[in-house]
Amino acid sequence: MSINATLLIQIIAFVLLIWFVNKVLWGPLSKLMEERQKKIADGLSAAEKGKHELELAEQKAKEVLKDAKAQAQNVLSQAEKRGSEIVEDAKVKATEEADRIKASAQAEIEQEVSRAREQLRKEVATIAVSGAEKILTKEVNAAAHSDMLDALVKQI
Amino acid sequence: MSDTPNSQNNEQQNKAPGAAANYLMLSAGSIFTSMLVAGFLVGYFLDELFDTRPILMLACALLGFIGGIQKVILLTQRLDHYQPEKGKNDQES
Amino acid sequence: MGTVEYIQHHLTNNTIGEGFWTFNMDTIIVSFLLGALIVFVAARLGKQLETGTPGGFQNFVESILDFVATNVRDAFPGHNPLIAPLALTIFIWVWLMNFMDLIPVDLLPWLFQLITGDSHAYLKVVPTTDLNTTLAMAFTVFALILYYNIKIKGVWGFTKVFLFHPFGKFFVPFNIVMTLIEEVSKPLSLALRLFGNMFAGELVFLLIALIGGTLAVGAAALFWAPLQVLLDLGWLIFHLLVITLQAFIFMVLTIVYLGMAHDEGH
Repeated sequence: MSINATLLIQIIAFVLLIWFVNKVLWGPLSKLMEERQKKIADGLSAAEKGKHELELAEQKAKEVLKDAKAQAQNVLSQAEKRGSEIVEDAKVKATEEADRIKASAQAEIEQEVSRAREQLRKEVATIAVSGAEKILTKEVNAAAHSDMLDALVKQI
Repeated sequence: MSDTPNSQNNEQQNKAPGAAANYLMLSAGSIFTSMLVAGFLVGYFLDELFDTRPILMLACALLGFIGGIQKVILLTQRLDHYQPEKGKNDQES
Repeated sequence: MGTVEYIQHHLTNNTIGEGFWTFNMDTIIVSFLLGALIVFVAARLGKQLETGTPGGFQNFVESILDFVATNVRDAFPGHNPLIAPLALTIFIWVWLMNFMDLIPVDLLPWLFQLITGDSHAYLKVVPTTDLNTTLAMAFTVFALILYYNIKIKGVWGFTKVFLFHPFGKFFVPFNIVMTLIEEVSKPLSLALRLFGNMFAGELVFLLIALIGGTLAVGAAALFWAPLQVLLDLGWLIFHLLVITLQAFIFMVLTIVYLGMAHDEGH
């Protein structure tokens, strides 16, 4: 029961055993376990990363799809707008053209009318002259009396 | 006095006490006893040193007694204090 | 052989030498053998380590390692590569030495007496019922505590703990004595608890063995022998818990004490 030199031996044994356990058991085994843990952690993180990437890709795809849809919508509406514009344009142009044609026709008609009137006047003058000639039964020089005739024509 | 084994771990390191530390409750009795015995031992050596037997031995034993009680109280206080936290840890793990 | 002699015989070491230079050969040899067993098994295990799916025994050892590592993480602030192997050594070695307690008390001494031919040869098989063993471990741990106290806190820091620690700066003499008592109580509580528990356990085993052995004579043995078996089994199961707990507490206290030595806070 008494304390004796066994104490010293046991201290030495204990220290030696700590050293051995550290070298033979704890060192390699804890390293192994750490490695395994790291491997598992790596795998998990890789899986996590993959999942994350997948999510990202899905999101991106969604975005692209949305973009494309929007673009298509845009193109469609633009085309519609453009079409209606063209139609409008054509309408305006057609109206203008019609107006123009109408105006030119009117002008021609007016010209025609005035020309006809002129001709009529002249004919009337001639008729008047010949009438007067006949009435007067007197040779009237058309040339000599043209002044008078003109005045007559203007009066008509 | 932040000397009890785990109060320091908790308060100063902000670390969970861990289930293991709770087993120290089992050693409350032996901590008290060993404080008393250590008091006697220290007193004995001091007496040898100053040749004042048995005054210092009794004084140190008294100190050891007081210190032992203090330690046991701190140890059991920890139990009250950290019980809920321990429960939380258990749920987390 | 009388009851007292029987118990005394079982609790006496087989010694060589005189006075202080006495060597308790049984303690030394048994603890060395158990240490060698650890190293041998560990070395054999080390050769067939597998990274993938470990086999049965490796799993078992790994679970012990994991258990120890978890306790170190829980109770030890900071990082020190020595703590975990130290704790592991304590746990396994102390457990194995305690386990010697569960071997029937008369078996090994009887074998030993048979081999040596000396019917009075002493043999105390449980190294942890020898105060020398528990004190040796406690002192080693204590030396580490002092070493790390001085290394981490510095000489002045450690002295400051001594001067001002429990009661503040107005009770310096008290503080010195108190801290001294506290520090001394650390190895004492380590060593005495383990020794006390193991010694008491061994004693109970001896007393149970006495029931069927020396108390019962003739027909009475028919009654006493089953009782002995029953009691022995009960105490054995209980003691299995005790030896594990004692090894565990020794380990945890070591970790905690060394953690305190590493703590610069106070």
